[in-house]
Amino acid sequence: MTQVHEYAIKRILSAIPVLFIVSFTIVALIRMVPGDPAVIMLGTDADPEQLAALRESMGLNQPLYIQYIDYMSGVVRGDFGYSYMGGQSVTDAILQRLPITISVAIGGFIVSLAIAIPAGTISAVKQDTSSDYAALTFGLLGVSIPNFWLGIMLLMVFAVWFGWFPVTGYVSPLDDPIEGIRYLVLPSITLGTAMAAIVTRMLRSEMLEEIRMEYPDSLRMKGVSEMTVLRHVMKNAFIPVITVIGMQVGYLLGGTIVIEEVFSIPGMGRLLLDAIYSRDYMMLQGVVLVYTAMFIAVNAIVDITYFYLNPKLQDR
Amino acid sequence: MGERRKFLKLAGVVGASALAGCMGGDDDEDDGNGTPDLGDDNGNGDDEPDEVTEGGTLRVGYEADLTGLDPHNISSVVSWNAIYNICETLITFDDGEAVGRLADDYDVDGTTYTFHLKEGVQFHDGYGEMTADDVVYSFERMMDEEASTSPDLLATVEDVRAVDEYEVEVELQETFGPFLQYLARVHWVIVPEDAVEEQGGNIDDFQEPVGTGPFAFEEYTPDNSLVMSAFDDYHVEDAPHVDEVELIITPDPDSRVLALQNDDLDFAREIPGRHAESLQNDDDTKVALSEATGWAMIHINCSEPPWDDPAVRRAAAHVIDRDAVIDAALFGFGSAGVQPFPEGNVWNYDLDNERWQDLEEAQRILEEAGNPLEGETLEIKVTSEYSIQEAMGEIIQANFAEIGVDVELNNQEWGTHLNDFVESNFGALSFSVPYKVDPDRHYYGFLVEDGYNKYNDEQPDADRVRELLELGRDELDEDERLDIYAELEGLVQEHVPWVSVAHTDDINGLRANVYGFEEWTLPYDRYWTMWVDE
Repeated sequence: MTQVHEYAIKRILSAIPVLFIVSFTIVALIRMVPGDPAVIMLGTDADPEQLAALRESMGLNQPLYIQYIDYMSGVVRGDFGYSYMGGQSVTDAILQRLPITISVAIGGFIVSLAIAIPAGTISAVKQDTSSDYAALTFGLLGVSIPNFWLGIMLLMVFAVWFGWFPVTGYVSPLDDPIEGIRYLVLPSITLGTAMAAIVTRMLRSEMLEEIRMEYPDSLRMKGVSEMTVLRHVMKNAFIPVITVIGMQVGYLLGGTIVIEEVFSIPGMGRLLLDAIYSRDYMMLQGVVLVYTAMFIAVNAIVDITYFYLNPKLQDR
Repeated sequence: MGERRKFLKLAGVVGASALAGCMGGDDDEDDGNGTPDLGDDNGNGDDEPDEVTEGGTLRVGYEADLTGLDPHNISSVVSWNAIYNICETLITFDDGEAVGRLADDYDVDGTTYTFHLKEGVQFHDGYGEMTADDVVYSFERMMDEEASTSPDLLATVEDVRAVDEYEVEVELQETFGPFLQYLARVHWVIVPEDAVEEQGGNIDDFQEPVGTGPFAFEEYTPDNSLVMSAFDDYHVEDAPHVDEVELIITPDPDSRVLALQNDDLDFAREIPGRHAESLQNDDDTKVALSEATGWAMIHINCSEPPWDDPAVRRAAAHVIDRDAVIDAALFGFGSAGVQPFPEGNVWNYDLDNERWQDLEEAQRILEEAGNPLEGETLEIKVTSEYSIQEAMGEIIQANFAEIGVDVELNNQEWGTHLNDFVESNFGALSFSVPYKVDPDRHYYGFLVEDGYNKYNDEQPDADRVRELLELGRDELDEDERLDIYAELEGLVQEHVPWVSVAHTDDINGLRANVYGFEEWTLPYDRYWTMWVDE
């Protein structure tokens, strides 16, 4: 096991320079985008002196590297600065919203695996039957249907017509588990379907590959039960699928941005969109940095898991 | 300029006028603006119960999150709306007339305005009576260089002083015609010093606003909701009606409509035109219009070839099919207009040189000028942020094609678009602004020397245009100002520094049991007139 530990530490350390490179890129890119936060705040009524004063107070007149050093010296102390719009501390805003976005992402994750694992398995075991075609069709639809459209459709059918779920808003499952889950059902389904479709297809093809190898037959000859054979096949098929799931978790996080807008969920995605529209540099930097850190963390976890599951890598 | 005393009627709760959304009602005169007929079951329909229901909660669906709540530093319509129901200005405007809110009346003597405050007005949360000192404190806070979100007025105010407990003098540097209209803006609300200091004192610190308004601030959860509760000691009789107002942030317009239909909202702001008819036909919901709340135009940079040629601009004004724009972007909810103010407004003039669509005239003008657009491709900047701004570009592109002129549209994100406008980085650019009470705000920033439209000295009548801009600010007599802006608009029709296109309506969706929504000129909702019949 020490090999895995060693690998894990290496993998985590290698993420630190990546974060620094990304942070500089964010700070520089945001400022390259046309559109001036001072103009957006003051609108068309402002005169040039006022705009200049506001830019000065925001520190936007400093050279880029000074702005970056100022920003990062705060970040390493856990201070992400203050929003231009309403002056809220960026750290507070992110801490408020991160759990909300994570709960939506976890909901989507659960939904997608709950669909993908049975669908992918049945589809592989019963290749070329009607259940297989049904799973393949679902896979195609899941990838093709845009999230926001599916969200609106689900709202119309299950919230407005049947009245089973609320249309908009959010209640934390920690405050009120039943209500919290009611609010999360439709967003989770909307978010989970695309990932479910991709994982279903991947699992199906990996399992077919394993089934066509020699070891399932030799296991059967030894008199091992069909269930046990399937378990072996699934375990081996899952190694590459884990990588796909890891990448999909990144897309899930991205997907929450659209989902939060459609379902009026006050999460990080909404914070990000508002910050982009209003050129709220401090908020935008903080949110993108946290998204990046989550992305890097998920990737690291996937790599470490892959290393752990794959003995071939450990004996080098 | 002799001393004049103005008595203000109080802007309390006017009996529900049948103004709001009166479309196709029995007293409806066809105004010829083509607004779709949604029947007479509107926000203030004839079926209103005799008895006003007191109590309950009004849930309002908002199109965007608030951008801060410190009244002296707010920069978005949604924040304005919230503050306008919590805090109050000295005066406001109704039907183009100044009416009192915290001031009963005022005197004008040249550059000195004396406001006589209403007595016995209480602040929320036990902060005591509102007096002249609070007005002085609030104005000085508003005029702090760091803070100002009401810049044009700052330049004109010299001094604010308390004469006694209920009398405040505001001294201007020079006479300023639009002063009262500016003062009616939400930025000039009165707040108690103690409350501000307790929250830190600096601009932007005052995020739990305290005022004298009909509702007191309770709680704000970012991107989710803002709750305010009825203020028991409100100084106006019989207001508000509901116990609580909850502003629920629902950014997606389709989700807002669904939430209204699902009874998760009582009132949904900013409904897209495509949903108006279905809301009207549903027994549980209805529609109330706020007519002509926005002005849409194509701004022209008059120093940028080929637009620096007045003939090109005149042709453009005759090219665009304004009704097609309203149909495409707003499903007919708006009216075509060639002036900044809509027909029927006091600032809209009978002019004989108005430029409506006339393709032959456009061609004639271009030929007479030696076909300056031959072989040219015009670039027009548009944005998808507002459907009206996108539609203006698409329609004028099609119209120009009819007379053989190529137009290229450059669609950009809103922040970039706004920035380009403010920096005059465009040849032609579609834009829209909320209704302004005073014409000064529809002309000055665009036409002043080096203003957004770069109407510079080589342009015809540039000197006279700028003279009129200043006269409009210096003159206090209302009739004189009407004449000044009539002449100015005549020059605008003549030389076309922008192509005025449409006056847009705001569509509000209401549950069928919500009453008391009243249309008015300022771009703020008034929740204290509304009630829910449970």
